[in-house]
Amino acid sequence: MSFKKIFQRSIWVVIFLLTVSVLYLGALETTGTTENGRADIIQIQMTGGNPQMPAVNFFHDMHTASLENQDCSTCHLKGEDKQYSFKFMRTVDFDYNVNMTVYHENCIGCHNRMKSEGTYAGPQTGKCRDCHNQDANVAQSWNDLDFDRSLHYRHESAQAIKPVSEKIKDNCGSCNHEYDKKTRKTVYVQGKEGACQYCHQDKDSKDVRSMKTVAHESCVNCHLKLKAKRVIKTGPTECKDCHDVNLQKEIKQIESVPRMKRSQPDVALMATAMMKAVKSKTKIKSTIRPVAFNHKKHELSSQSCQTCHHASLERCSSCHTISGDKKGQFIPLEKAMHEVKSTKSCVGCHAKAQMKKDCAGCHSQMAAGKNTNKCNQCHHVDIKDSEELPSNTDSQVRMAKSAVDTRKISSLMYESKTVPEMVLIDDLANEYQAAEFPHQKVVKALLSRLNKNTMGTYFHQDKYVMCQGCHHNSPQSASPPKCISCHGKTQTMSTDGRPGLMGAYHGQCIGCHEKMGIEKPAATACIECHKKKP
Amino acid sequence: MSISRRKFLGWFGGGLSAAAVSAADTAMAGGNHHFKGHPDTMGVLHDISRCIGCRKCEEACNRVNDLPKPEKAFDDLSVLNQKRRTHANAYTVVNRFDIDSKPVFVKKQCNHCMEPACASACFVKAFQKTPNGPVAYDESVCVGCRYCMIACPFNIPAYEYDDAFSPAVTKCTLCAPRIQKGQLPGCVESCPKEALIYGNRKQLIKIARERINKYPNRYIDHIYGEHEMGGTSWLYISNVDFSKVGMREDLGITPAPQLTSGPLAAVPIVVGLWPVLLTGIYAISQRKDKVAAEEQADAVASAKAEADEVMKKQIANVKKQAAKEKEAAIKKEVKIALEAAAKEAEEKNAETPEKKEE
Repeated sequence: MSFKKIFQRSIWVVIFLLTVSVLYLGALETTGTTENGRADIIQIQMTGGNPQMPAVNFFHDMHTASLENQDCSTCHLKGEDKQYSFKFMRTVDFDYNVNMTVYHENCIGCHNRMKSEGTYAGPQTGKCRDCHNQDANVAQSWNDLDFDRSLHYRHESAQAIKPVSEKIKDNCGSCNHEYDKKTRKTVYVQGKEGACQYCHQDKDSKDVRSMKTVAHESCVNCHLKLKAKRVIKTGPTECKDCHDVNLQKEIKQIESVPRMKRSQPDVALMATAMMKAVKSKTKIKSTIRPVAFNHKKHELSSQSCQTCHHASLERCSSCHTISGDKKGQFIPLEKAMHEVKSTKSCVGCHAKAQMKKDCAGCHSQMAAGKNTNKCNQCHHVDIKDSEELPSNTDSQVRMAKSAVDTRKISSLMYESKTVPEMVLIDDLANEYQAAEFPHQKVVKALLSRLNKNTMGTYFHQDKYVMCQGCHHNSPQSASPPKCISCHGKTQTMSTDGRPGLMGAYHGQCIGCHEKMGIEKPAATACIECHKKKP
Repeated sequence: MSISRRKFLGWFGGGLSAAAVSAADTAMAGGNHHFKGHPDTMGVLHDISRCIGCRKCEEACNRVNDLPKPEKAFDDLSVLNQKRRTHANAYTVVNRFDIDSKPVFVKKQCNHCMEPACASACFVKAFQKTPNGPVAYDESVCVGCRYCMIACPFNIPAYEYDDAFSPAVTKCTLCAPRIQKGQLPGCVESCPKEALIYGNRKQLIKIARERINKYPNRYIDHIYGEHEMGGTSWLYISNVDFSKVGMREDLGITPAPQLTSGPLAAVPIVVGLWPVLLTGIYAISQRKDKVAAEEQADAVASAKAEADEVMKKQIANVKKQAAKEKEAAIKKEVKIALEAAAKEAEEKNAETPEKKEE
């Protein structure tokens, strides 16, 4: 055989080996990944020292997959409470060097052992950079898990999760607890449940573990326990099942979730100002009217209790006092309720809703930070002064309930003969012909979107409020002034920022279409609204 | 050549006033006097969030400036697929930027700086900032050096490369001729969305602020051109970061002329003072040489005289010596001769007696 032939063959062999190894590595890499990337990357970097190597990107699901037949104790130790601590091979953090040794001894030790047993093993002694690399090519698909009302209900109604004692019917106490500082133990107090984040915050502190630690230690341990008991429907124990963006979409959603049981009111009378007037026994009789707050309705339309109750489940006024208090970070009650920029306040949350596609067409063109509502739309309990306020809570609630019940929330309608069918916009016709504006069609489209939800109908009860989406800055009326009455035919040299007629028409039509996601006609398709002059 | 008293005073006065003017210029540019732009100057506010990329402004610009028709019609929006810059036949261009898969359109043209870099780079004053806004270009004085094109931080001036005999620099004129007639700039007039408004620059800044305050979620809290490069007549507000839509954010707020005014202010001094200084130094060095030469000549002369004196003395001595020696030699010879004569005589005398004895 000639030298040339041997050379050629050896090249083929090398190519074959390379392909096989790439495919093999590829197969290894794909465990724990989805299309979007990995959801199981744990970045290991010790704190409190002077690191000389980059952090390790540890792929958790890849390890659990290759150690299929072993349980968590391969890498995690159990603490005093016989629960896994999800720190690696320790239950508490030591100082920098000890922590580092724990990792090096156990990771490399295991890899070496597996190698000697002849199985596939990770990087062994001396291969520092195989772990300590900052491989930027690994795509992340990790996302925070939203433990929403549906997930909460699935846990609440799960047969496998038992109540803490026989006296109590519900299983809330399995997760919810209070911390007793004296005994340094957690105890379940019925009716005092609240969001985990109220106590478990971003970072570990002396008494309280961080939300991250607690979510893994409590949730995963419980899932593991149930798995060991051979419960069929148990929660996930792998990173990706909770944290992968795509897999999160596959989490089963309960359509109509019943209300949480925490003895919250259906309706509440918000009358802090009046109550204060009553207590202080001053002669000030006229305060702002109370709000009959439909708690039940808001509960169902918000994501979780924390949407409004951001720090505890107490009533707003207990922290946000009328004049502001340290407990409420000196944000007075009025601001807490009306601050447009906050998403926790009533007005702020409503303003956020106005930016939804159905509403944004009109509302995005209105100045932000301006509360367009009238006071009595919310403050509408019909008592004129504090003397009429019932002193006992039950009758207050009754008063609120009757106020809520008597609210008329009926769909907004216009008589078709009062709404012009077509408006000819011909003031500007020059290069293009006059535009035929299908006025009634637009009104109907707006009405159908507005009547989709109660917030839309309730806040547009005044008959011509909706018209003001376009016919703005003029009194509400069935025959608003023409656009040209305020917007001059041409832009003037001494502009005051008010658009000329052409800018006003195009700004409003195109702006609204853009915000409502109406793609046709396109903004630059001139002739679809007004034909070109022949 | 004789200089009359009148002529002399005339020159003197002229020189003084020129010095005064250049000193005042220097103080304005480099000192704490701050040029805040011409009062009541006009400008245009471009609201990037309003622009829909219809290219009506490009079309109007082409029409009002009588520019040649482009290859692709103005209603052909496929042009926007490429990033363009201004060129000889297009004083303004609209570019599309896809930000978060949503198109954002930005109009590009001369920004008509309050203190233009092009004007400060031009050595024939072909560019001039007119008090009412436009940076005007005078083709008749332009020498075609194209320093303006290099100086412009916004990459705006273009050049008629295809004109072999009388090429000129071209750029947006802010429609100065139309404005004089009381009309709006072509692009402003044709913008269907009023993404462009023309007005008093101060008023425009107020309007821009008002819009930003009114719609804080829509706009970036910055008016581009309010301070950039010392401020521009063309102002921009935007719903996306300016750097993402091809607008430089590294320009700083110092006007271009101020950057060069220091070194340029030194020019009159260099030009006026250096010839005098150098001539003086030359004269001094010349005089020094002359003096040195004279001194050397003197020294040589005196040395020569001295040497002559010495030589004369020596010669005299030598002559004396020689005379002495000669005298002595004569005396000696005489003596010798005398002695010899005496001896001879003695010998004669002696011979005779002897003979007598025999």
